[in-house]
Amino acid sequence: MAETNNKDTSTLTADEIKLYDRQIRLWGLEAQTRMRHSRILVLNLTSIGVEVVKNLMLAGIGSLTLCDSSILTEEDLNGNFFVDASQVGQLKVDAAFDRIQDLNNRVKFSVLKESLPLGGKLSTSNTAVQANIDPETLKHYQNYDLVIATGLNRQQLSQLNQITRNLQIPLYASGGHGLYAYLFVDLINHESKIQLDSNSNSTKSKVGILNSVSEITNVEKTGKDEELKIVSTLKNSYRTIDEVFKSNKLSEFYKSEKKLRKITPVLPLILSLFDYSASDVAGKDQGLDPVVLKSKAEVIAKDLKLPESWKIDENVVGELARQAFCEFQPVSAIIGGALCQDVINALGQREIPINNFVVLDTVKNDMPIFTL
Amino acid sequence: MYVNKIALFTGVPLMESGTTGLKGQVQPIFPYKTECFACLPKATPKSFPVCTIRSTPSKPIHCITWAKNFLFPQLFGENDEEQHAANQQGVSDDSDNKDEVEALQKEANELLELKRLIQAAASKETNSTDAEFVHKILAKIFKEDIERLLRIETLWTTRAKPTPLQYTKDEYSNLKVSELSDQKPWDKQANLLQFSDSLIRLTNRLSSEPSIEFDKDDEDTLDFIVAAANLRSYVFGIEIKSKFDIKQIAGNIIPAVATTNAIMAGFSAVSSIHMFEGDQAIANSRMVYDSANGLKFVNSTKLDSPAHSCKACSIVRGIAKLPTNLKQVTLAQFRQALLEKYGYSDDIEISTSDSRLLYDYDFEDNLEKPLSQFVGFGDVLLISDSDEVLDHIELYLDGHDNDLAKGDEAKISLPELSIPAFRKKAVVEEEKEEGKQEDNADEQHRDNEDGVIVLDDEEEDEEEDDAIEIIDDDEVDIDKTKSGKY
Ligand SMILES: [Zn+2]
Repeated sequence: MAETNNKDTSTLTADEIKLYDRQIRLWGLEAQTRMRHSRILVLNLTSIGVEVVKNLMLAGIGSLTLCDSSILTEEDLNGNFFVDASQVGQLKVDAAFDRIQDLNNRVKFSVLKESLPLGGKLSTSNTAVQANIDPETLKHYQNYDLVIATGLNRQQLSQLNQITRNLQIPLYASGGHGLYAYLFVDLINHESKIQLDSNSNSTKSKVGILNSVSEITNVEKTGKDEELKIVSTLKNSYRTIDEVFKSNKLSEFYKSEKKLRKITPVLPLILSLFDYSASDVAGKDQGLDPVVLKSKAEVIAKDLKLPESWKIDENVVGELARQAFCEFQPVSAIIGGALCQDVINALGQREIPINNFVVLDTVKNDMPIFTL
Repeated sequence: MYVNKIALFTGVPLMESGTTGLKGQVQPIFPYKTECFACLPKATPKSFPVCTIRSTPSKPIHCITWAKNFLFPQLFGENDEEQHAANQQGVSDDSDNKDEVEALQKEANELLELKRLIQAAASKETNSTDAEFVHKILAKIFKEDIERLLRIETLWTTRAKPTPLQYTKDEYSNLKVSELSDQKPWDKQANLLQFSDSLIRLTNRLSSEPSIEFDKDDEDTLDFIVAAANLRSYVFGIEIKSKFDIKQIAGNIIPAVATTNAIMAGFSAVSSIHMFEGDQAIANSRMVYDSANGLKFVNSTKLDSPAHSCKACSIVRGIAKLPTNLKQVTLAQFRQALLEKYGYSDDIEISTSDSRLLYDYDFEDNLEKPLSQFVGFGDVLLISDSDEVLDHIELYLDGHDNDLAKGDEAKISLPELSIPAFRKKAVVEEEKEEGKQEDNADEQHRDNEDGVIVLDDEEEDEEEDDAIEIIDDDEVDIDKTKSGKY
């Protein structure tokens, strides 16, 4: 994490070790201990938010604060197993509170029923200069170790990202559009200690720059011959969401024009959908105008330096335009599961977390990770 | 495996999915059109040569296997005679070293004596870790047996020699079992203490239990395995493991987490949409599995055609619908129906899935007997062509639906099958073997024929109120952890 939490040294109780036995075996005692000490803020109980909250409660984090000011509607019932039909009309967080807490009483679970301020106006400059953020706004966020936001539009996410950068807090953001979804990760700077095979000849076993976003800063070798253990420290640096929209990194990871041409149209299309928030299209059953969506995506494709030969697939445009603001629970389960798995990887510092944008296409069961 | 076969009988698509830790997969199966569950190779459990376990361990797992599969059943297991015989067999099969075989046989004989010591001690309760039999056992297993192995010099020409365990009774007298950590490996003294302490606990239990089996959740047995394995590791200069780690290895614990289960359950649900896309169903379906590649979160591939060598789907299967009262159908009628439907010659062979022959050209005794005498609904009959023109088929027997038109209920309705030309018999032989084990799963019900069977190895229940997912290792079917595609 960007800031190491000094309380991490206190250990888990025997009861906790027993309760979390299976997952400790998977990600280790250290990760479980760090998890127990993390305070996580989740913004919006969308369908993905529901999955995220469930996974984090089960994983055994220290405290979880859920912020949502919206009222539960009939449509929410499909994607939210914390509530039932009798609760329509209540505040979502009130309706879901008991069932969430019941998942794990060891987690300090609390809710915020009013939207948190995002402060200031959207910075229009392309540079990542910190906007002047009201100190009062920062106060709302400063007591968390991690922020997870779902269902935000571009402006909201951009503002939130400025806040989390200002406070040096890692940020995860996710949203779903029918059979498609995305995951954005900003860990600012992150270090993981990765174990390599003793016979590994990979570039990761030597100190040096791997690519424009990651480098090996340290290599420790212990033992020899068959017992040789190599632990490398891998440092990952991240970009803000504003930088993602202007990224020129695709050609670094997709080295030939042929590979670039094959990049899924879902990437620019889903980025185009950041312009809308769910409330913009509330009640519009038909979704969006595909022509408008396509032209937005073409602008983004240009910004991302996709080659001239890259062509957008009209079918995918149509599907995404139509499904733009549907929530589909299985899709939320996948992207919410991936999000939480990455949170655990980031906290555990043994696996390399995602850097930095995942696209999920469940029509093709395709889930590429882009470095933008 | 059972559900896979039922899918092959019914022709109903199957969505197979499962997870192991952070790994998982989802495989849509279209019977006979795409790879079935059995087409993909499965991981088999690791096994070690007997001699590595008994004489020349070099890894912690060897010592754990020795403690769990050899020492423990020898001391606390059921029938000593049987155990004994089994052990002798394994050794002589495996080793060319005559001296080694002799040493190991002697060792096993002496273990029988130790067992009698334990049984004698069990009759008079004792709580002292200083009891005489405890010392005898320690000395025998970790000192005398090792000294005997050391005398076989050929074993140690290329290996490091073990060191017989040296200890004194007072070494661990000031330690307490309750203060030992599960997470950190114990030192020699702690292992000695735990060995003695758990040995006493187990011995005392033998006064009321005829035998004790290892169970990872039975602390007495786990403590004994941990201490015994670690003491052996000391002797052989192998790394010492914590109780936490040994529990996982000895108990075959497969880690399970909510996130992987959610991801694979999600893919399973969205992938089933394709199953309803008619002609395009197979073309649009994709198998999903975890990815180690930094450019993808999961991998997915198109569905392959069935493997030619697959034991499950290289046989044509279908469901035969029979009158609800099986007494009304004779074997002769059933045979006649087969000949008419599939164009077999006279010369066919009908047998049950446990290889009992009901009819062939030279065996007509059963022809006038009702089917009910041999089989019931849910059973499988194998039909093969003795003229070797058509291939073998398997028919699953089911009763007619209740809403059948009057007059039809006495008929035998056989499924439409396209039976390929005769193939070699070997496939069928193996198939029979397998059938034996699976038939006891018969009470499992079959889903609605028009629906989709969704099979999930793990329980994925979104609303469960437990904070962790628990799979008992009894339920973990090693067959189901796929390795072929990773
Ligand atoms: Zn098959």
